[in-house]
Amino acid sequence: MTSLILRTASRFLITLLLLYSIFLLLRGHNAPGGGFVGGLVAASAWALYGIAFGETSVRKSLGLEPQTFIALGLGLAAVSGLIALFGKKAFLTGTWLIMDLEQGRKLEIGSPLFFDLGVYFVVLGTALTIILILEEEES
Amino acid sequence: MSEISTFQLIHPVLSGFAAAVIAPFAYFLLKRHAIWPLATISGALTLYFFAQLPSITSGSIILQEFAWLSEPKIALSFALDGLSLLFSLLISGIGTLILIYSSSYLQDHKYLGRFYSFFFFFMASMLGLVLSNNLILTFIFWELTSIASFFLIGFENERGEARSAATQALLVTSAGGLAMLAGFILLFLITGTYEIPKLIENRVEIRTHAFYLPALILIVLGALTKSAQFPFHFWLPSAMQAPTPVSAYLHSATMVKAGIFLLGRLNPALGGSDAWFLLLTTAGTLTLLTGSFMALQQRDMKLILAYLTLIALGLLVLLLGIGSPIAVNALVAYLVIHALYKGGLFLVAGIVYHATGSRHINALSGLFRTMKLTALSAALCCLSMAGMPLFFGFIGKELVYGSLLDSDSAPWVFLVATTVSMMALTALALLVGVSMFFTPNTTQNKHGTSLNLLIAPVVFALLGIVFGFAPDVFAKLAGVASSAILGHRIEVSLSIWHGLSPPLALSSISAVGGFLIYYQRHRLGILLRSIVGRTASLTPRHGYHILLKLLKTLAAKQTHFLQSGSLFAYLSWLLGSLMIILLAFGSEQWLNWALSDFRSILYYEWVLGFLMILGALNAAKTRLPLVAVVSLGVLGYAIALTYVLYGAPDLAMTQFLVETMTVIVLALVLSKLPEHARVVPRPFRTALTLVLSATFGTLMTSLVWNTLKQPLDRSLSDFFSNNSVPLAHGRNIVNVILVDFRALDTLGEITVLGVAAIGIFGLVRIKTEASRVP
Repeated sequence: MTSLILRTASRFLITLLLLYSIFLLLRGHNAPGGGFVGGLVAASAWALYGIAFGETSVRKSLGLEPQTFIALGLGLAAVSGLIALFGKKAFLTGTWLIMDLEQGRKLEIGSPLFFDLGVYFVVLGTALTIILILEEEES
Repeated sequence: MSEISTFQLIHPVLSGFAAAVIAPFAYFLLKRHAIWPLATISGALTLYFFAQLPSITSGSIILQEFAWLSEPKIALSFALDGLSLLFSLLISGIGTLILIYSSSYLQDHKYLGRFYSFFFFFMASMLGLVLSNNLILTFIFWELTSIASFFLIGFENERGEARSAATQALLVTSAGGLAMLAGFILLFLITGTYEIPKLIENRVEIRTHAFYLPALILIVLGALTKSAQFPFHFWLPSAMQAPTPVSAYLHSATMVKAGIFLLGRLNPALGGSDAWFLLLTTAGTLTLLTGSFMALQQRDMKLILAYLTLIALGLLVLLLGIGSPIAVNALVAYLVIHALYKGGLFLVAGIVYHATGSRHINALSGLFRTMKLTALSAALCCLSMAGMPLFFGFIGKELVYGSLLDSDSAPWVFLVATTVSMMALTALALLVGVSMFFTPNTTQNKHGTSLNLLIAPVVFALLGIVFGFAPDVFAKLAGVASSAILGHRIEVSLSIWHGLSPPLALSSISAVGGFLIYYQRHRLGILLRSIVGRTASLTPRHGYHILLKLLKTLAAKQTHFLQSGSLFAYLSWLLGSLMIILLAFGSEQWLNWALSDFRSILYYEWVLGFLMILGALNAAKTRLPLVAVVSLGVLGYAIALTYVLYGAPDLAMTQFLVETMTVIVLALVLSKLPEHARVVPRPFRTALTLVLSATFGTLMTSLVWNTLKQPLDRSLSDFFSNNSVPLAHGRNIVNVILVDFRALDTLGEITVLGVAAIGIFGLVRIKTEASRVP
């Protein structure tokens, strides 16, 4: 599995794919995309990196255990649902902050964005947990 | 009669549970001094109930209701009447005293904080049970007390005996609890309500209904298991594995009386019939006799007390079965009498064990010289137990005899059984009260006795005398409690002396008989033990073990049969049963085909379909696993392409990625398999697979096909497309549904994802680590 072409290419591809996954996540609310797909793209980016450089270097670059991403994502999704409680609304009701920009355009940030980010992390964490444990070299 | 007041009955229950939560932290912070804030909480609860005495004894009932479930309507309804106040006072008062005792008894135990927590958990559940006015609520608290009892019996969890005793008690009582729930549901089917007062209103309807007998039997089963009646009595002696304060509190003073409480509570609705009489008096009498028979041959003080508890419980059930006003009266009095003397004696047994390290009745003697207060409390409790004049126990015994003689439906069997058990009580009172303390040859003490240990037994002993001398203090509460059991008001007068009457004659007979048994106890013990030795295989306890073994074998066989570990077997089960269900229900509606249906298929749809079939066939045909994986990938990509054709880019994108990931993961799994692994051909299995999958595929296709022919209800999709932008600020409906409209579903799904990932992680890790071990 030590192909020079794969190694060189995946070094660039991982950056592009991770950027693309964030792009998908952010545009998801208005166009095809979203946390689930974004998370899958990010996971496949890391999977590719893992195929090229091995499981240990993925773990090193990630910095966190993949299971931590699952916990992080679940926590984020749950907390984003709790925001609604401050407005005396039901759990997980969307809460929005709308800012006016120039030329009549608006920026809308809402709790569903953080929920979607949570989904992104859970999907990424789940896929990576499975892939990395399977890639682990038996010693 | 009833009033709604601002006194919130849910508060004592909730504060008990709150105390259970803070208890470990209190112990962590304050260590030995944690007992004082905790005892203050339960002491406050006691005062809280004491403050209700004037209004309740004057005949009012406090009712409260909080809305809970709407369909079927189940409210959190609570009631405080004479019966529940009596029990609440016992639970909180005795609880407080025993809590203080435990702080000293378990002083150096490393899990004392945990003990406090379980203790309050039990107290709160028991309070909830006696205060609840709705059967479902009753059931919930009922099972909570069983769970609390499980933790407390198994408190010393390093010992195997404690663990198996805890499991035994839990299995027996919660099985009874489930039977009881079934009985409650039958009552609901008869009357349409779970509210106890409404059930009592409908008693005629209940009594004449065909479900009356099954409902009665099921509910009585629940009560009998909880109150350790024959043939379910065996869990109670086993439960003596619990620390002594627990035995005193749960397994003599309070929890085991929950069955009596429930039967008393439901007596106005269910009682008085022939079936009621027969069930309860039989169980009660048999328990009485079993208790006497077993108690006389024990040599461990705690076990003696446990079997004596069986006598008292049997007596209470017998009285409830008779159900006349005077019997109920005797029941209420004896309930309190027993709680006081038995609670006290258990605590004394604990002190003796603490001081000498032994509970063996033959090894202990002359302890009066080293522990005077303990010996005096023990003597007083024993005198009350033996029913000596001027003690509370005497009043109780007279009432019991009086009600048995008075009742026209009480044949001599009950009278004989009761007299025999009273003899046993007297004999064992002498054994425990006299031979341990007031004999020559003092057993050496290892420890002294602290004040905290003494408070509770002394109080119990003194109350036995106070109520004996001035029973009128108790008469009013006994009156309202008896009224609650009977369903109509009665007045109760308790007197110290009933004159020279038949009950007194029976009392004297049992006292003399008790002395005789005491002096012949060694011979009698040998005789009884030899009988038990020969009949060990016929006892209910033995039956329980056989039943448990059978259950385990059955479970193992069934698991092995259904969960054989072979993927082929799992899939065959799943698909096979699904097909049977599909074919059995409504197949005529969707199992119709017409060739004309195929004309509407367009050419590129044909191409995609062909691609899918090719992928599937290749996956099935190949013997190389990797080829099969890639072929399935092709199939998946073709499905994703159909999503593109029908304008679902989100789905298509996700499907492409999922397919990619699946191929990667499967390839990784395959890389772990031995090299050149191939699918071994097995003709029979192949044929079966072919038939199964072809049938299943046809069925599914037909199902989808015919579903599509139905007109589509667009109201839901219209709602989403109209409201996606105004309500959720997003134009991508799929995503808006996922993260906003149906976000709770998504939250559930990602939780499942996370759990699955951790499960897989665990499985692979364990396997790898196991293979590393040489």
